[in-house]
Amino acid sequence: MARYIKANQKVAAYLHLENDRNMVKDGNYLLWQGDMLAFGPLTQLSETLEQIGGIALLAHEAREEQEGVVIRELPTATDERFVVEVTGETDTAESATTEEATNTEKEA
Amino acid sequence: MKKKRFDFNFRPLRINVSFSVDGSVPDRQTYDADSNEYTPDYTVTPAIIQPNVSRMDKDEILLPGRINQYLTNVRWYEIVGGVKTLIASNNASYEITTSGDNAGRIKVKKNAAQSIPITLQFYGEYIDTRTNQLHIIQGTNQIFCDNSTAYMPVLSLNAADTTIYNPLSDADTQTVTASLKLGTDECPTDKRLFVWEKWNPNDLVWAVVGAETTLDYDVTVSTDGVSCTVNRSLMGADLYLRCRAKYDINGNPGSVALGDASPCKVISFVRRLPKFEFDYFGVPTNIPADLMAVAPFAKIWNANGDLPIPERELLALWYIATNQASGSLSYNLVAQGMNPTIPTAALSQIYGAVIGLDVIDIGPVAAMEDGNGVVFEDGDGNVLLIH
Repeated sequence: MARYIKANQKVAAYLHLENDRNMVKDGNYLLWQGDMLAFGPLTQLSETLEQIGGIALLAHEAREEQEGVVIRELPTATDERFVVEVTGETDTAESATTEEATNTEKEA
Repeated sequence: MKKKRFDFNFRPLRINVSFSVDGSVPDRQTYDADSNEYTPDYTVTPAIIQPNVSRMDKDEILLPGRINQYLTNVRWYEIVGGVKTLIASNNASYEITTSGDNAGRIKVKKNAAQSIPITLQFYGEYIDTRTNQLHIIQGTNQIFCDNSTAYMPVLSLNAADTTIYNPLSDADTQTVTASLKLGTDECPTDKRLFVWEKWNPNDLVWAVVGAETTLDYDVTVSTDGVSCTVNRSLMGADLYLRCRAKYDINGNPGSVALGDASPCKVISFVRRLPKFEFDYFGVPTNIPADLMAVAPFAKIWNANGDLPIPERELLALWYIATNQASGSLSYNLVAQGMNPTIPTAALSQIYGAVIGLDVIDIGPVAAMEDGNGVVFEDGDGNVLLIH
């Protein structure tokens, strides 16, 4: 049975697949099982998924994700290269944007 | 002054195009009808085809190698079932990269129908900078879909592909029963649904039996939908019946859309009268002088003996002609039926007369309509049938 892999943006970027694979509602990507060969053989898929913080989905589950009907949480990656600190990054980004906007207004 | 013109003689540029699958998603997928799943499903993980266009300059002026970045007018066409369509930029099923190092790259986001490949035809232009010659680069790549269903449902009907109906001796009705098999087992009843359709020769379409309540007087589908009864005496000259099956492994066959890949079987019924012979009897060669009429009777038979009710499909036509010493005789139609009364007025006193019998097929039963194709009905809404 074929598997689709839901993985975060850092994994997609690492594999250079941001433009090739579909992004789901929560900003993560749906990858094909063959994409995981970059991390190791498919016989070690469960270890690979722990490493990258991804989950394997069946075809109908992948479709649910694609349509946004069900959104599954991703586990935290054990490999620090793929750890996404969602709340922290978002806050920093938001504050940076606000600061920039304020500066622009002042200059104007 | 003596002048002569000189030109560079460039040798032709050699252009090559090849196609490769970019990434791990293959360009061949499988479809499992049991789970209604494609593997891989291109709508979830698209397939990417990359044309690789390269040049080789024998004069070694231009560097050899990939020239995708120089391509212009990059286009792709989709060919499905012999129909070629230009893939427009707003086509949601494809994404085409038209410039840059990967110009010509196409992302396929739709699935192919089983056994009907999608042929993708690439078109690009390249200008040879030495001579300004335009090179047109074309090539094709196919997306295949194979069947991976464990058991394909197979539909069968308990009737011959063509049934010859002899109205003189065969039973009027014939019940056709459908069967859907998965391997050697009959498909569970809750997972399949049969759809019976009749060919409409006027509109040239298949119409579901029962949809046209007035004209479907010759076919009836049973309440469970498994069988269909054809009244062959009312069907006309012929009838074409199609049965298709909806199959859903999850027990919801009603939601399945019928398509070209659905299990399907077409059978036909054809009315045909077998060869028969006829003669008439009951008239003496010498008729008494005061006889005003004669009453012959016709007999019609075939290899199985006398036909039991020949008037149902056949009509006896009686002719009489005054006999002459020479020349051809002129026959007049004087009566119809198996046992008519024929007046002897046409008998010549000297030469007598000749009585002829002809038997014709009165044809199949059909609904009566007016010049505008409107069917006649009685007061209760029943259609009127005539031969």
